[in-house]
Amino acid sequence: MTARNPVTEQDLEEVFKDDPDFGIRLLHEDFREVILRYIKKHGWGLQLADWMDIYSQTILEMIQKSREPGFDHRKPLALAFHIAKCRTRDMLRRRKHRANPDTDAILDCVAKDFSESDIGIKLRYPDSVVWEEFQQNLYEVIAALPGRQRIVARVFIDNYEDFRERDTYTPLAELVSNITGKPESVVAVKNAWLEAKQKIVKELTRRGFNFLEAE
Amino acid sequence: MTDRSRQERNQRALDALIVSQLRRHEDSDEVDCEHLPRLTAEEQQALDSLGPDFIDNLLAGQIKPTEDDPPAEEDELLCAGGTSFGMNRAEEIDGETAEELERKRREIIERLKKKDGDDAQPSS
Repeated sequence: MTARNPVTEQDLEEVFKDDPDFGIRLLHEDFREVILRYIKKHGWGLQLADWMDIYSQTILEMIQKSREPGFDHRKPLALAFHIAKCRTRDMLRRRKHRANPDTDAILDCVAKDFSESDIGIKLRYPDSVVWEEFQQNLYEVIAALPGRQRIVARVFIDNYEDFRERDTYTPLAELVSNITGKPESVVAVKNAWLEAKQKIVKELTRRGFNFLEAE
Repeated sequence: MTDRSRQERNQRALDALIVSQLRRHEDSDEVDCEHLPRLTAEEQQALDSLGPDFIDNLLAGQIKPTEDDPPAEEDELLCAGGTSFGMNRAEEIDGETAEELERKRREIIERLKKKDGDDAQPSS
């Protein structure tokens, strides 16, 4: 747990065992930040208001579960994370995002696209890339994109293997239109993704991940 | 490679890198709290603005999570146990102030620490 929390997960578990109602209060007081950070990670592409809504749903559901007969007091933070993940997935679907978790489908595409690029060559000798830090920073940067670019990025990433195979942005425009509820031109959507990508590269490079820019 | 094709290849590699990071599968329930994305000042402020009465307000129905469109049936099956928004047990919650909450919190932490200390003592 982060250094900011004087209460450990084990303490929380003990409190839930003795007094679930107080456990809920302690969860909110001492673990709300880490729960929202978790929601931010899984709910990237959504807005802050959506994340706050998911947080409220998570706490409400924790209250409900903690009052059920036979409630298992063990690992309450893990339960909160699980609920938050489920409610985030619900919210993404409500916002008409695909939230595609299929990693296997992209492996071949990713390997092939890396193989002959300058980035791929640089990544063969990643002397200082801590991937957990890279991923953390990527989530932060992408969450800070303007709303429309964030939507386009989410759609692009959830449907990457389809677009890549067909090498066209037409379905991307259709899917973005489905979310925004207005017609989207192929050119405008393509430009939005390119701009988003440029911002991502620029900010990540500024933060020290300098293998992204081609020479 | 021509310059043009080289540029295209680099763009594709960049796409691949971003996608591979954001579509990374998480096998276990273990959460790496240290590397979760940090909150911006605005996000932190939104969280802080919930205030000490958040739980009471939530239970009293003064804060209501939105439920504009129900999730698809398949989502309900994947994540069974959605929130029941009809729940309202505000009458069962006493009027704890933030000060009382903090006092009780300190007491419990002290008790837990003491318990840990006692447990660590070798039995004679």
